[in-house]
Amino acid sequence: MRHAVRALGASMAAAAAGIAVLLAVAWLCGYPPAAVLRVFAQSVAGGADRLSATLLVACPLLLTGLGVCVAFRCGVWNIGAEGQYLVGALAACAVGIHLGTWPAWVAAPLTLLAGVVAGAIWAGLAAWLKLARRVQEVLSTILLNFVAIQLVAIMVHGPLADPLSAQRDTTSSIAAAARLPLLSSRHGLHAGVAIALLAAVGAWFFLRHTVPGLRLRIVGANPIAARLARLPVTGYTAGAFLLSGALAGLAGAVEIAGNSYYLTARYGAGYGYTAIAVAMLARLSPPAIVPAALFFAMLDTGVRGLQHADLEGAASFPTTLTFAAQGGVVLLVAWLAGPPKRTGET
Amino acid sequence: MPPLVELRGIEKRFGGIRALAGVSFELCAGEIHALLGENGAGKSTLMRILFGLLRTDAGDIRIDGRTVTLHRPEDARRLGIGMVHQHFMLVERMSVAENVLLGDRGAGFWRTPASLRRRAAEAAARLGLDVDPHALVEQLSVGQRQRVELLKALRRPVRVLILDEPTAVLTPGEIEPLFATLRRLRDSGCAVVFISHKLGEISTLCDRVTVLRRGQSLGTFPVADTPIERLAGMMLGAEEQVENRKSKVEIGSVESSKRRNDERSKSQIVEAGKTETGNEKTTSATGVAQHAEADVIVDMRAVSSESGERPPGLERVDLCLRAGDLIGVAGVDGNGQAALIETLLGLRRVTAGDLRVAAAPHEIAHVADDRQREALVLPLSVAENAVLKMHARPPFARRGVLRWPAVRGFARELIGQYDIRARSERAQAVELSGGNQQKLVVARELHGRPRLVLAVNPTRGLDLGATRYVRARLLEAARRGAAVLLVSTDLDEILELSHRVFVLYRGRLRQAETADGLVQRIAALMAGATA
Ligand SMILES: Nc1ncnc2c1ncn2[C@@H]1O[C@H](COP(=O)(O)OP(=O)(O)OP(=O)(O)O)[C@@H](O)[C@H]1O
Ligand SMILES: [Mg+2]
Repeated sequence: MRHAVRALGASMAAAAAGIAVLLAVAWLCGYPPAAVLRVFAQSVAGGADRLSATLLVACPLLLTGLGVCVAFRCGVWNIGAEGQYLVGALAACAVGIHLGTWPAWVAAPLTLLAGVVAGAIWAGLAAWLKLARRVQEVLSTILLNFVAIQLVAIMVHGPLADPLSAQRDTTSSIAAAARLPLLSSRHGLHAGVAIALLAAVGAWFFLRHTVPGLRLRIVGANPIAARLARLPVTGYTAGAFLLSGALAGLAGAVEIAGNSYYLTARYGAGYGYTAIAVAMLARLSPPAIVPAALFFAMLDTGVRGLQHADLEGAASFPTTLTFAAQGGVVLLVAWLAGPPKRTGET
Repeated sequence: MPPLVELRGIEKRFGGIRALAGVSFELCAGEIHALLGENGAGKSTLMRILFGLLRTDAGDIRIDGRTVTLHRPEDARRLGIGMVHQHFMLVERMSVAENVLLGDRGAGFWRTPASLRRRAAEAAARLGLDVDPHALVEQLSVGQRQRVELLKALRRPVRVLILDEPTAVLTPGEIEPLFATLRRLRDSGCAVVFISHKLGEISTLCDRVTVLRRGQSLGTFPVADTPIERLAGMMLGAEEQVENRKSKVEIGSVESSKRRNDERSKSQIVEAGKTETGNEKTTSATGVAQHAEADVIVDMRAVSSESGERPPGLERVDLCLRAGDLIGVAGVDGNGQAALIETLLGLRRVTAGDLRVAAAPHEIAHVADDRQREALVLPLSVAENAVLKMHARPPFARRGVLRWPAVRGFARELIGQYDIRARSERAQAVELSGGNQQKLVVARELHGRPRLVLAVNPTRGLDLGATRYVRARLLEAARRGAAVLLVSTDLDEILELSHRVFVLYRGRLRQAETADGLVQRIAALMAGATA
């Protein structure tokens, strides 16, 4: 918990610095900082619908961030959360479409389960490549991301295509029974947000309070000592891949079942990549991932809001500038929240 | 003439702990200056400050009378300061030659591997250090790594050389040439700081000694006028000395009983048990009953094992360990020690012969060769490290859920028992001083009732008091009916504790007969004399 608190402090400071940089960039480009800040704050949390929009972005970031965290804690450099997320969404969609005749209490969990399993399998491929074929996961997971993108496109244009869509670039919607219940129907806030929070608590409890969680951390921090302590290093490594893939897959399934209800040919929103920044900002501590995911969600909705805003006579914030600012903030946050410098012989 | 290096009123805090509380230290050109002090006294911290690895909170550093600020090791190096660290800083995946010449400014861009190796080999030969320049560092034992570190530091011209426990894993045969090199350096005007817990080494090698205790300096003394006993007294403190005399008596009585070890009878073990508490007496009596049926714990007949990641492998090794045995294995590190231990742990494939180990994995205590690499998980807490091997068993876990109060309580118990200096059991293992890390490993492994104890350099880096304590624990383990295999590069340790002594040389194990001239005989065997 202490680690989490320290991580939290560091990430808050980094987040504040990040916002400051955004304002500084805006100011340098001739936009009044006060107005930029006001618009930013309004688009993040100005009213219930803005707030829930932010939470809807935070939800997949939180789940994928937890997945990255679990993998990194075990020394598994899974940077394929994006691919696992996409495959999870794909599986959830494929299953959800066909559950029209089922009761909701079966259909919705089944849809999520499909995403979880698909994400785990996708990460499992990388695990197999690493453990049986010695292919570095940094390489395999990122390549599997590209495969996943193409797989989604093929399925959307082919077997899952909505017969009513002219371009054939979306799927049919999943059955109503397969959709997640809404916490607030006016703002589209779905139960997935609660699921993500529960997952954060679960991941924290797992890593901190269970035997397998401790073992996963031991294997991650010193595999040689783990082997001498007779821990099944290979098993835990594989387990970390699967768990991390499952969480990213769940994120994709939640997005389908709670938010979008159907897939498009270009579905990815880069959550799986932002997840890495989220996990690093939180210093791989699950409780700190909640605010870290919120921060990146705010950045996303806030910057989006700026694009459409009327900034006291100045032209609206150009897209390139918002992306540049967003990238700058991520870099700054990574720099500030990075691991403390190692000192000396230790 | 001003001293070459002057440290004045150095303070350093880590969190709430004051590691150095105003230490002053001066170092002159042409002297070998020993730094002595108990584990956690602040020796490494002080030297890391001088080497620019740590920043001081207060106090100043003067070199040639001028105040300097050292931000990073590069600054210290530019001033002619070199350092061999207590824990090694080598690139595992690179060869010895590459490590030795790494960071050489003048090495040039186009260095062929062959010329690298030739230069490394030349340096090794000149300094009397036996290392294979082709070998990958990840294949080397601790002793071999120490030699590489020394090679790295010694082949560059320096004015100040800091050696943090360089002899902890070297054999006498390696220490002699090292000392000769250091004396040569001193005579050429170099200043050497030598950290060691071995008082004998300090009195033969060093000119002056500075004693640290709990972050404060007790003063600097000329070695020639300071009796060893006085240094020992300063190290231990008056009250602890009494305790040690007590434990010495204990060791003495055990020693006399172990001489008759081969004819050791059951009654003797019961006798030894009687000196303990009533509780232990009964358990050691049941221990005796167990010996009767399952006396032999390790039986190796002509065992050969593959050479594996750390060559050499074993070659036709015969060894029989019974309950209550304490067997010493001497030898220069890198002659099959790793193979012997890994084979006994079942981690190395046996290629020929017959191996039987009558101890379940959780009944084997293993004090590993390299604490940071093999025994500890540095980023995890002391408590988590304390239960590294038994966290799944009650009372530490129930139905897969850890019970932190029990884990922490156990860690506090070990901390108290072995006098481990740690901020608390929640501190990361990496925060402990080298000797305190070692104490944590030994405490964890010797806890409970192991049937087989595999102790590799168990007192590496421990101070005088801790060394005695750990040796007494090893003897106690044997007395309680464990089979203890003590693998050590420290010949004195082996002779002091072992019932029988073996020597490992290039994967072969030979028994050194217990007779007069034993030391010479062992030394000859270590150098490869044939039986
Ligand atoms: N990075 C760190 N974080 C927190 N505490 C530290 C750190 N490094 C050292 N300490 C503390 O500073 C004190 C002095 O440590 P130091 O390593 O200098 O001891 P030492 O004299 O070299 O002991 P040893 O003989 O065991 O090597 C110890 O109490 C140690 O716990
Ligand atoms: Mg030290």
